[in-house]
Amino acid sequence: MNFVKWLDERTGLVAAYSKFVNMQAPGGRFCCRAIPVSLVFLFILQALTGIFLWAFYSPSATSAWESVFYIQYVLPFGWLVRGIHHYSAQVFVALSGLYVFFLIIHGAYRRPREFVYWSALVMFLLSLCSCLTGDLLPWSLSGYFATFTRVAFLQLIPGIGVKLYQLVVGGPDPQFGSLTLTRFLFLHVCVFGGGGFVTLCLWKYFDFRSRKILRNEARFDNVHKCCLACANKKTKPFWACDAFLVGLTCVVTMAIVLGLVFQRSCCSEKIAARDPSLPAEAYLGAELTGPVDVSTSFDAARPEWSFRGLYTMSKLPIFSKIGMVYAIFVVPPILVLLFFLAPIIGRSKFGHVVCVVATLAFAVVVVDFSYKSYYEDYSPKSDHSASFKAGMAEAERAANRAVELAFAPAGIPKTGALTLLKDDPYLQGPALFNQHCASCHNFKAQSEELRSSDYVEIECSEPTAPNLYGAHSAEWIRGFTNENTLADVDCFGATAFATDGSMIKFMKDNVFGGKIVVDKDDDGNDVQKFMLSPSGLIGKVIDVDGSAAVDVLESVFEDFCGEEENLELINTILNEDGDVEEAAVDQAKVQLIAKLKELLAAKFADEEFVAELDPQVPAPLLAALQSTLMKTLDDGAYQDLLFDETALESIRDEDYEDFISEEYLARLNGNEEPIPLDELQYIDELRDGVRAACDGVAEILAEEAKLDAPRPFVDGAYLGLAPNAISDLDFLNCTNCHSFYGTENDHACDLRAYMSRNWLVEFISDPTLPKFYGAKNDRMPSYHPAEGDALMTQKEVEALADWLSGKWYRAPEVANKTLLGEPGAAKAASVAQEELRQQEEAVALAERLELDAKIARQTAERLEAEAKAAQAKEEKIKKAEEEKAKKEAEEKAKLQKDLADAQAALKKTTEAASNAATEASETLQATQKERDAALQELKTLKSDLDKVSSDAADVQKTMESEKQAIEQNVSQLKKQIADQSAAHKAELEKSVADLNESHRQAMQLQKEAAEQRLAAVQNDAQTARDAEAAALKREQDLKTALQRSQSTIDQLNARIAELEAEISKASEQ
Amino acid sequence: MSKSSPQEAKCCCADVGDAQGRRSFCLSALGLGMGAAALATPIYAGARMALYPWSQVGLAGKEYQLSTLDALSETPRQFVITDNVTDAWSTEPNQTIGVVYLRKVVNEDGSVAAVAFQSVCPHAGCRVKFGSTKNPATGENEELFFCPCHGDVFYLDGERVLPEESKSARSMDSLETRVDESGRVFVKFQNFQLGTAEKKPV
Repeated sequence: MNFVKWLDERTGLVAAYSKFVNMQAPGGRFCCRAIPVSLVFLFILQALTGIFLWAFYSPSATSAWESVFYIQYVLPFGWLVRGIHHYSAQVFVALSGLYVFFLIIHGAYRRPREFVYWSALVMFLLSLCSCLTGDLLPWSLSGYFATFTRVAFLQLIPGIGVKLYQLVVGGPDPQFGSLTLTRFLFLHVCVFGGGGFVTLCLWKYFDFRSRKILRNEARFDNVHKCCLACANKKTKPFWACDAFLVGLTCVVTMAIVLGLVFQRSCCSEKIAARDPSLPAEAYLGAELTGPVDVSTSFDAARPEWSFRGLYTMSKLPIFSKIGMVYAIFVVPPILVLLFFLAPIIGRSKFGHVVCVVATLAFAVVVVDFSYKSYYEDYSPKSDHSASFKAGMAEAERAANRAVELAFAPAGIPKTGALTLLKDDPYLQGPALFNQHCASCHNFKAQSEELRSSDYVEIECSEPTAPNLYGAHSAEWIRGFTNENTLADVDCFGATAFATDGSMIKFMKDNVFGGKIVVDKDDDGNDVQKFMLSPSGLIGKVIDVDGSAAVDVLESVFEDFCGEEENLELINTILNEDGDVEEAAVDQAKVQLIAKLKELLAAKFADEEFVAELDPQVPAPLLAALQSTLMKTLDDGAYQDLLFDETALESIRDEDYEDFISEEYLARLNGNEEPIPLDELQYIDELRDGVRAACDGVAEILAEEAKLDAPRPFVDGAYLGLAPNAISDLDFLNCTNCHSFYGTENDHACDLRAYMSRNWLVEFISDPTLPKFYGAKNDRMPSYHPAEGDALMTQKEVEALADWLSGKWYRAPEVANKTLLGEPGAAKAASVAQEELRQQEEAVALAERLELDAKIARQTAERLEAEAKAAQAKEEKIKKAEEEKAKKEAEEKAKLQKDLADAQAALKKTTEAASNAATEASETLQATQKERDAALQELKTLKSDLDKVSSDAADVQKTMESEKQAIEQNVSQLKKQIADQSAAHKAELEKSVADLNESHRQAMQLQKEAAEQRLAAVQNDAQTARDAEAAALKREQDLKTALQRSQSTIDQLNARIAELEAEISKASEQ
Repeated sequence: MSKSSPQEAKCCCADVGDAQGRRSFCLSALGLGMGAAALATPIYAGARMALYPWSQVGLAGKEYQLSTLDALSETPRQFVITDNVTDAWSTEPNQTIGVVYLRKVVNEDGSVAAVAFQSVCPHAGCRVKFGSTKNPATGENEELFFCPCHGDVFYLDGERVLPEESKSARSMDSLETRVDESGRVFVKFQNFQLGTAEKKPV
């Protein structure tokens, strides 16, 4: 008890409780208070759900949509909280508007309730503002564009407009961003939400106060009876009927809100029509369109329903004349001002009537304008509805895709969900195609079977390149393997290949094998005929020489003649003895034909025989050939030919060439001339056979389109390639120009992994590569060449290729066919799919690894064999090389030795030569000295002689001194000559000896002369002259010796030069 | 409804004597109930939404291949475990989710096994280090696990050196390991509740 007392004293809770329990409800009918009660309830709902949402919401450009996605799709009952918040706000706007409307109609806005009315009006305006700001918060396409236009109108306000706009947006740029979101969140929660709460409280307070005034004073006239009743003193307890009615109002309001929350799943048809790849949450609560992508034009951007009236008004022609600013910032504020003035205007009875009429008129206009807006968007009669619906569909596509991708195993990256959409081939493919390809290429389904819900059609107004719709399918490729459709606009019809492209010509001439030739008719006039072309495939099969048909028939007739009973048949038909009845003959004829047919069928059933046919006939053509030949046997004309008497005889003699020769087909047609193809019977069947072969090639190539890379070569075959693929392409002569397995060609596009994703990446990147069109490329740009400017990024090229080849993430089907679906179904399905994919990938990886190992093993084996061969070869070479090397080494050693020897010899010789040269020069010098000395001596001798001859008389006197002088001279000479002689070397011994000799002789002579002179000096001058002559002779000798030594020196010099040349040669070597 | 018959009122409010009072009580209760029911929807949904973390499953139990038996030594080595981490709505590939110690143990019979420990200290969640530290039992420096925050020291087998004086209520958290035929070592990574004597996965 003390506790209660204490609590009551401190908090007043007990008193408040008893007041609460004994609460009195105002008098009057409850219906007047139903809307206010409902409004309060709705406000509580919004506040409650708003707080829960606030706990999860993240206001930034890269996380706003993502967090709302998380609330809507991941959190349990997040969709419900968001749905209640969204729709209770809509109901609040509607009810508060209605409340204001009723206040005026019932006159309950008049005094003393002015403030009640004004606060209600403010509440209504605040709820509108709250809707406007709240619309942007999910950062979804629809909310963004709708809000963007409405906020952008702020810029229309003269003067401050731009500044105000920047303030609201939170940046200088016109685009919205993270700051816009934080601001809008603040405005939504604090300003408009908080303001709403304050206004709500004030409104309740003013309402309470107005009742008090009315109760106390009766001076107000024209008060509505309900208001009076409410203010009546006669109150009743709240906790009775009123409590029940308040509760009921809340439940009804909640029911309305929930009804709206479930409106998109309200019936089983709608639930059944759900997209199987989207979780049930996509159809519950408020819609969440795709994340904001400012690069897209969202054609279906429309304001919320509450602004639709204003939207239509702003589009009135008058405002485009006087300015939009009037529609947004003049007219609505004036209207709001008028509404605010209503209690003042309505004070008088007339004023009240004016107010009521004006309000009714206003309501009618608002409803009408809103209706018009919806009519324009949704009515099939409206001009805009198509683009609006297309915009809605596009936005829905992007929104659904965003959800699918967000649930994909990779999840949403930190950069936001927009990255997912930007990298998604499914969404970006059409945009890229439109931008880069649609100027030339069409993208429209050529047939119903080609049409796929995966692709949107993109129309090119004047297509000048192949239609690429379904480019990876067999149906599409078939267009190119058919000689009739190949020249269509959908194929090569509008390209440069239409006129000079060899593919069309090739198909017409070589594959289907006919050509127009000019021939003469009987009258000699030129006639155009379509002739069988021997190089054509049909020609190959039914052409005469060595053709398959002839082979078959020959063999059939051989078999026929090989059986005795068959010859009996011929005998019967021939009826040589004339005793066979006509019926028996006919029967024999039938039997014969039957026999031939039987044999023919047996031939075609004989695989060995068929395999040996030359040329090789592919299966479809084989069937056609069989059927043609069978028909031939049934043919009356042919039978007549066959049952001809001579013909049968010749068959019997095994001389049946006539039936299968060149003329065979001609006779069949009753025509001896060469056969124009169009006149030939059964040719259509053969043509069909070729066409079937062409279709088969299309199927083969469609399989190639599914590959990642060209097939590897394993176990002597290309992995997974149909066994007939190579032979079929060879048969159709495709490999004459195209590369295929085992054939390299660069005259046309590579057909390995043709139209597969990676093939397309390479092709789009650079179609001028030799493996594609090479130099023959017709206009197609290289979008991402190895060198030069790229028109698309690598990523874009890959996205386009992924889209064209249908490779993009596909969401698994989700259990969503019950109202709430299965909780977490999308994630679970995605996880399950991912697990399955991982398992498949693991299996594929294992298979690939095994394959790789196999290939590696085979390669290793091959390499080993090659290595062995190479080794053997190498050994051989090595041996040869070794020998060669040995030889070379020997030679080299020899050469080196020779060189060394030569060098040594050279050195020696050089040394010797230089020695010799030195010596020679020394000798020369000595000789020259000697000569000089001799000359000097000669001079002296001469002067002596002159002296002797002139002083003959004085000889006696001077003889003594002369003798002395001569002796001295002689001894000097002797000494000189001895010295000189000693200086001579071995090589010059001869000359030296000569010299010595001459010296000795000269000395002797001189001695003798001197002695003779000495003996008969007075009169014998002859002796002196002899001495002179001897001296002269000696000079001559000396000169000779000098010359000789000079020549020796020359010789030595020449030798030195020679040796030098040798040295340089040797060193060059 | 407001004109509900006395019989009905009687049956639901039997202990109120006065008929008027009974009626009022029933209506009030009905009204209160309806109001509560109307508000219950958003409150229930909001609570379910707000309490979502309780119903989410953590990382528990996923195996990661960290090494091969041959590459391990008896000295513990630190291994960082990475995985795709989903943070609310965004997913980032190859993010660190934890760090473990891994070492090789040679049993008495000669067989070799891998032993893994969470690097999170069971006491207060600090990162346990391995290195030279003073062994409180012997006072000598040894190569041991130690927690730099509150100084607990653990032997190489994860046991506390001084169980009585340790701040941590339990030894280091060992993690399940598995070695496959080719010798690859897998660790089942888990986080455990901190501070308790018992090892409880979170």
